[in-house]
Amino acid sequence: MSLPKNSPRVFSFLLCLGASLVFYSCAGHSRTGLSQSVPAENLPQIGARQATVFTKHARPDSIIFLTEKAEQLIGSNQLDEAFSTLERALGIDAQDPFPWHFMAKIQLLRGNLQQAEHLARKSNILAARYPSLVEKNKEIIARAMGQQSRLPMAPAPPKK
Amino acid sequence: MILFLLGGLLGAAGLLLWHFSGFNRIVKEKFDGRPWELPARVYARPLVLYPGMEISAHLLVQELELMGYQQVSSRQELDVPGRYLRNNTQFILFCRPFDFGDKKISSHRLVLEIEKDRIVRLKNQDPGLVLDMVQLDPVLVGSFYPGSREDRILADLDTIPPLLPNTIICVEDRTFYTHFGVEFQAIFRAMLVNIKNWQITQGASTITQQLARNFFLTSKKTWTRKVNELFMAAALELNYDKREILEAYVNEVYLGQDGNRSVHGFGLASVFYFGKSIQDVLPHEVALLVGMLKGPSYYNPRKYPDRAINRRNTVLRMMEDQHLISRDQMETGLAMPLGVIEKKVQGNSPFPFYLDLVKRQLLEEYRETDLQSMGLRIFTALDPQVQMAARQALVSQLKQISAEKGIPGEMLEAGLVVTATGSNEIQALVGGKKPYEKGFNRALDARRPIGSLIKPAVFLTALARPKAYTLTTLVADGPITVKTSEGQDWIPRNFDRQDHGQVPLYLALVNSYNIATVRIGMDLGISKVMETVQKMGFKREVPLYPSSLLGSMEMSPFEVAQMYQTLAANGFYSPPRSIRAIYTPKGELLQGYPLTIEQHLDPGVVFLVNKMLQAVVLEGTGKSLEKILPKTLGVAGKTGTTNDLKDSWFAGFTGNRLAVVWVGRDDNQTCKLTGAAGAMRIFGHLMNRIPNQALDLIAPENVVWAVVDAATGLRTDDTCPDAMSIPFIKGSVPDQFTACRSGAGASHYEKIITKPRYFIDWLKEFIK
Repeated sequence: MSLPKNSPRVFSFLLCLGASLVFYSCAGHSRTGLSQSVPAENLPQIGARQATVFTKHARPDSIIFLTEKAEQLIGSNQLDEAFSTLERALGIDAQDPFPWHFMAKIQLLRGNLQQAEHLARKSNILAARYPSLVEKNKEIIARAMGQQSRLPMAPAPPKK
Repeated sequence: MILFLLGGLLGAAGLLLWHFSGFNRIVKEKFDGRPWELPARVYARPLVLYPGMEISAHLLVQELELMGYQQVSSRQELDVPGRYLRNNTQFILFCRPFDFGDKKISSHRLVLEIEKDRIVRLKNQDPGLVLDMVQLDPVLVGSFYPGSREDRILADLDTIPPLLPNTIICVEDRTFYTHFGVEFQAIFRAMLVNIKNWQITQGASTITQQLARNFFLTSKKTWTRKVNELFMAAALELNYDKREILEAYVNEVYLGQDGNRSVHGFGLASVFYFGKSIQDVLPHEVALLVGMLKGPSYYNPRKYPDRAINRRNTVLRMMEDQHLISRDQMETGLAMPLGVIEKKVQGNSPFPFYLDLVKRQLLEEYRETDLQSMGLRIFTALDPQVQMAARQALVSQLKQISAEKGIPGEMLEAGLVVTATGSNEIQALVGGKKPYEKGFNRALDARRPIGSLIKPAVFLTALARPKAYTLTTLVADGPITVKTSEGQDWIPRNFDRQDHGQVPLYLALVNSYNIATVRIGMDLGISKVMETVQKMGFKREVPLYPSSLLGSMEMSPFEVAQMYQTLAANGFYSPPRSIRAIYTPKGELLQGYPLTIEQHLDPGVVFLVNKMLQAVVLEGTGKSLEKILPKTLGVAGKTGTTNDLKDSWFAGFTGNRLAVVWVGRDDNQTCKLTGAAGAMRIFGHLMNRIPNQALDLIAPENVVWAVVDAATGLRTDDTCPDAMSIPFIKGSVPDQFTACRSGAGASHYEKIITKPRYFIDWLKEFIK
């Protein structure tokens, strides 16, 4: 009895498939590391379920409009108006991290260092889905703390 | 003799001059200073509209009505600001101009469409530009009136239609521009009539005399007053020009009564009677207002429309006769109805409890007399939609609960506070079930034991020590005896009078177990827990009794709101704000109250507590809230019930709002209600009436997740029946691992199965 001509290829395929299944089930079974940054899929949680993956929510146009307007006002040094614009944005969605970030920026520009720090920290709590924003907030925190002499100030970016 | 006469004449002249100089001084003092005491006006937050905004047509109409906008039925009637036309889903608003101090909005026509409770289109009517965002003029919350209860809106001659002052002159004093304050011919004529009748029945007052009388003298008709009036009028004419006198007259005259508030000046009268600005009044409306000068009560158009219309028509004819209006205009005016609005613009605040809060905060910084006289403009955070929903929910639910529980309706009382979770702005405050009456403000002043509302503070303190406590740490919910400082034994009991044995920490809060809570609290130390209470935002001293761990200390709903606000804001404390900014009448910013925040609590620990508070509502003592609110809203909250069911509390928050509700009796007798049966129902119905964002808790950086068997508190395999995904503060995940417990009963939770994968599961078991 002779084997079909393409039997090595079929065998290889089946071997790969079997191995994949075994690895997959092992991966699922292996004791997960001590901890994870997101909740395990399909398991009950305390309270409302948290997302197992971070997805960026579509930000409402109104928030984008107000934060962009505030950015422009900050650019033209109209800080009071920028701040009240951002307060309006918070009235629409206080869970959006961007208004908090720009408020922190305004307070840093004003020299209200403690407020700058607290606002940036607040923004960071809400900014898990925006890693670049987290970095910007950390920069504000570092500068605010540095200027309060609580920690060395973050090094200034090299001059071009 | 001649010398004697001359001396007498000179003496009389000197006396007259002295008399006159006295009046002159009074006139100058009054006019050059602040002529009128202007009440402070308190405004709600302005309604901001934008595409995508969640708002029902019902809520929009409700707010427009509070703003004093009049609904019209045709585009032709949409001719002045302050009116709107509704056509099913489409609204056309003729927005009023408004000066916010930091910016001014002008009147414009706006078209918006609401579908499925959202704004889907927003544009200017002319020229049809799509708009990103529009701010409307705000609802007037109330005013702080001077002792005289006079109210007025100042108008200046430059901005009011010239027809108004011209009509005043035409009707009241045609020689106004030529006399010197007094018209002797008219006085002589009136004197003859008065002498003939032997009493003062007829006056001959010029506009200047009327102003002098209103400003400085009583309205009593005596000869002395009449003489003084002449001196005053002369002093006015000597010091001020005709234009200034006329403008003062326009603002001074009395034009009606609104409860105990008197309506002065044409500026307020046009709003009070026609719901429109003085700039927008039409000829027949001018005629009515000017005609009413003769007798505002007698010609009250709301009370005596026939008299008022006759008087108006008389004035219209006089206007035509003096060529102020054309014959056509007169005919049109004569054919018009009075056009007086229903009495919507009221002197009494529609929100007296909130106004009380604003006043208390103002009195910390301002004198009451200044509030009543400087004409300050105070912009607050009151959200009329939330405030209306709050009082509707409170009133309707109290009524229903009373009926269901057989409690006499007058016995139950309540207080509630609603804040914006992001900013801690007070959006609504109701101090009792008679929300239109200013009385005992229970939201601020009813200090009652808070019961289990204290428990999150105990658990916060515990979880802030992650090496000792995690969400799954087992706690004994069995008998405990605590020695009080007086040496007595205190034995706390659970509400259900049962002991629950070893329970995971989170279930102790979810099910509000008293004994487990006391055990944790005593382990931590009462003072440590009370430190947390203060970090959460409670400002007064807290008693350090063991019973404080179960909320024996008294707080007002407002104070409780401050504590829970810090939880809702991820551990960041913000001072409560009811006032956003205060402006002078000239539009200068007197004081601003910008948002400030301060991190008081570890956001990771707050996250864990908030997860438990969500579970309270999903599966614990607050589960019945699901009958009123969708689970998807993810409400976090805590019920509170005190001994003998005297107080029913609920504190809870969604993604954007927090509310604290208390229900009880003023005589401190039992209200027969648990937190869930009373206060939580009001909370649910309140939140159900207003747009809310779902509470989407985001784990901070110092939180990690692990798969844990909740019954043992040990890590386990994710296929085990009792496995749960539990958040921990970094570094506190249990090291020990337990295999699936064969004797484990049914899981506390149902597994969430997304898709069957039998082969993989079989393979897993096989490999195990």
